[in-house]
Amino acid sequence: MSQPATSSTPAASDPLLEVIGEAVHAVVPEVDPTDVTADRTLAELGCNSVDRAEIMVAVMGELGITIHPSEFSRDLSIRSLIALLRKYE
Amino acid sequence: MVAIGIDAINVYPGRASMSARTLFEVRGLDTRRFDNLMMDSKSVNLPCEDPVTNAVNAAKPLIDALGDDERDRIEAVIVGTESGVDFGKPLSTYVHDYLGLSRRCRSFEVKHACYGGTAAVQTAAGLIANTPIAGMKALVIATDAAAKIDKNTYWEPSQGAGAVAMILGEDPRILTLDKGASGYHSYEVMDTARPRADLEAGDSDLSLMSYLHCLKESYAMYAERVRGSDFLTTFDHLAFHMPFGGMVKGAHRTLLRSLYGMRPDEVETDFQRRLAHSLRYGAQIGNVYSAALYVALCSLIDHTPLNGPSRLGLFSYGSGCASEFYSGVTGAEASRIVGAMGIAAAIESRHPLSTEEYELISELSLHRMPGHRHVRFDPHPYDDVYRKCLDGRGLLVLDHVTDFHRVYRWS
Repeated sequence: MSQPATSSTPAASDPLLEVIGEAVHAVVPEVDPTDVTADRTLAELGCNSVDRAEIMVAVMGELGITIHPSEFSRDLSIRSLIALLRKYE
Repeated sequence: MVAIGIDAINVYPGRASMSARTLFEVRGLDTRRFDNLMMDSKSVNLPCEDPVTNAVNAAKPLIDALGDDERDRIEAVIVGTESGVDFGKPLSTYVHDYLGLSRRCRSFEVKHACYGGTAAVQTAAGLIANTPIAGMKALVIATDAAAKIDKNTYWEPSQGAGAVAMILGEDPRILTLDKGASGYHSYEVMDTARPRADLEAGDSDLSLMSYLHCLKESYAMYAERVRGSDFLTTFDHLAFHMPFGGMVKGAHRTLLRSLYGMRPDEVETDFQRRLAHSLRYGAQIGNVYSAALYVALCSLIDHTPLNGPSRLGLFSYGSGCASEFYSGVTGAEASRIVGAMGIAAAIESRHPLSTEEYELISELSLHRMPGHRHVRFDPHPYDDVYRKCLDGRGLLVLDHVTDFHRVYRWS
């Protein structure tokens, strides 16, 4: 069953998804940006805790935003991450 | 103005170790990005060791080197730990007793997760600065041991054990603290904690992001306090709190990009020149919690050719959270004095545990946790390891607990 579209559901060409995909690829070159999809987690893509922190810093830098650490949590799916970033846009 | 700081320092890295890569493989953890964690092994306490024995075994060589008069000038024993053995009775009472310190001495424990060691150092420096009586010394010990081993978690390979002991006083030979040169950043966050004696709980992603945030913010306060300071040029070398090396390297990279927009090759050059040497001992001992920054300090001094007095930038972070960026200047004889402690040899001489030995020791270690009323610590079930690690070495070990009172003996 397909997921109903909501304001936090990223479209295939979501610019935030592209920013995350590029950051993941820059930190972990083995990951192709097209493998970074909303239903996956960074851990599933092979990013360890150091990678995940670096990806988050890169994404915040690219978007020019600062998210307080208390908003982050383990096993954040990319869909949830996009929703979090959208709050700060 | 009298110079105050660290006059002597020693690391007790435990007597047994476990390979980090083996643990990743045995537990089925993802090894695809193992190398950037920068972990080789970790120190493991035997069931008859605890934060008290770690503390005493780190401090005893320093105390033994003092004359009677100097020992009696120790007017405070302050223990920083996040693995205390009682809610009320501080670990420092056992340490004070087994080291034979003067009874004319303050004694207390401080806690703030991995920031506890720095809280103890700064408290001791303040006590010394505050007295009009010349020559006062303080014994500061940062000591910790992993709680129950969290099998099948990414914490487990980093959960180390050990202690760093320091004597603070006037005209110190290792590190003179830059008076007032500190920046802090603290707020409430539930990143990692020990809600029960046998449990370490937390969220590694949250903790990492909080560490990065605190490094940036505490250095920003330092830079406001110390006019004209510059992260790249003010500090000859750096040492950070080290849960594992990859975290420190990532934090350094993030800060340099944030402050200067540096390219990756420039960041790497700076890392190799100013920070990499501080990670070498920690990569073998694992996370020693409140002691981790001071293990990094010893590693830096032991592996870096210091050409005369050098200014060090030190960053301490404790979950929960509190953080501090501060600085100090090494003494002319720091390398010789730290080198004479034989820390590298002590790390090298640990017994590498097999997986079977590690599992047995982890299981038996539950009995050393606080809350047990009566326990006798019989090394018989791990006799072979005990003989290799502790027997006849004159180190303090747990003998028994009677009505919650811990009784120790010399091995």
